[in-house]
Amino acid sequence: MNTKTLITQSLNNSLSDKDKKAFDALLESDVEFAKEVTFQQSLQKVIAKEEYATLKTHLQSLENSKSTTNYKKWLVAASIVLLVGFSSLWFLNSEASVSSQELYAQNFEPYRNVIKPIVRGEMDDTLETTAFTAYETKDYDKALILFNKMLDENDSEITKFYKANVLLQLDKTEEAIVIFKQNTNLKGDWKAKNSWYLAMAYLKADDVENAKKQLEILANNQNNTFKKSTVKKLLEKLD
Amino acid sequence: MVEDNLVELIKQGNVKALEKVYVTNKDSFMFFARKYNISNDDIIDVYQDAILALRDNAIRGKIDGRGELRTYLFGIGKYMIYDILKKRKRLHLVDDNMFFDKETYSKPLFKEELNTQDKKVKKAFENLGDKCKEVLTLFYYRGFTLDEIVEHSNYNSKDVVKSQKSRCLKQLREYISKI
Repeated sequence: MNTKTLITQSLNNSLSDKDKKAFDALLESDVEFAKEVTFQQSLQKVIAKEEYATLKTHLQSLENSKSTTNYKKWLVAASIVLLVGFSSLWFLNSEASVSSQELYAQNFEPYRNVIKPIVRGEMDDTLETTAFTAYETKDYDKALILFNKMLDENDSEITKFYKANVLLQLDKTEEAIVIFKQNTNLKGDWKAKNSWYLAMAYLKADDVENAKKQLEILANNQNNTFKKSTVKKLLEKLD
Repeated sequence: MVEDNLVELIKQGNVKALEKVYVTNKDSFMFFARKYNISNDDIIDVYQDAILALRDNAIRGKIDGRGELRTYLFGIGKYMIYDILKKRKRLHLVDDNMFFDKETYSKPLFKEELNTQDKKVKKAFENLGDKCKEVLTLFYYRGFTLDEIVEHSNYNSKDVVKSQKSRCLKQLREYISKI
């Protein structure tokens, strides 16, 4: 068995006893081999953590959407009871049960391109320009590829912020949530925008609880001016 | 057996199968965990981690032939609850190794600490494009062979996957060297 296969099988815990001996012997005697093993183990660990982050978010939204569904069922039951006696209350109840998806649809628009405004006649063909042109023209599949390329060249949280906006448009809500959550080094206005879009992503995923948490962070920040009144209104609707 | 199928589907990365295990066992897990003195939110958090630990163990070939899935899930969950209680000093134990004893439940990879080198790899990995992330995830974490990757994705042949994988690995190493 070649050394590559030995390492792969050790990662999958599928080495036979005999191969395990060969593996251990190489680990002792061959520095390059040992280095490669360490690298691949490290990569495996990092990927495990990435997968964990994505799926944890997924289970959390599954959990929260389940509890909101239960809550809605109760709300419907309560409405019916109320209808019998006080038909006039019907209007209030129906307004209170606007779904988080609807609120998302009412409030979400992809954040405008402030990084590379596209001016007719002054186009260059840099990666940044083509990426943001695709973004502005709503060619989100293309925009995603180009933002990824930009991120390959330069790891910028603002680019990630736009990428996450694209992911929301492409219904890849969980991936978007992971990015917004990991964007922790943004400052000032960008930080507020990131929180707002994270709240939007949670709404889209039916995770009202976390959406509210993000909106409350925005509402409680005295210095924040971004979407201030919308945040307040939305919080009232979610309560 | 249906359960074997579920484990197999989870190994292949099927999220619906994972959700099924999650939903099916949740109520009984909540009931079982309530006897420990921790909040509902903590129990849900532990339950989610236990489900993901189950997945991690299944993917890394540490779960085959170990009897009922539910017993395994509750076993991992119980250790995680002990861990919380221990951190809160409500439970005093002499030996830390009691948790995730290798012979019974193996500690999920995502619970491992990252050392300096790992952190560099993490940063570099995050910078890769989605295609690279996917191919490396399938090969290095999910344990797919090149042939299985062809089956699972849009690649046309084993050779294409092979060269894509080495390109991505090269890019990853370049990023690491720049950090």
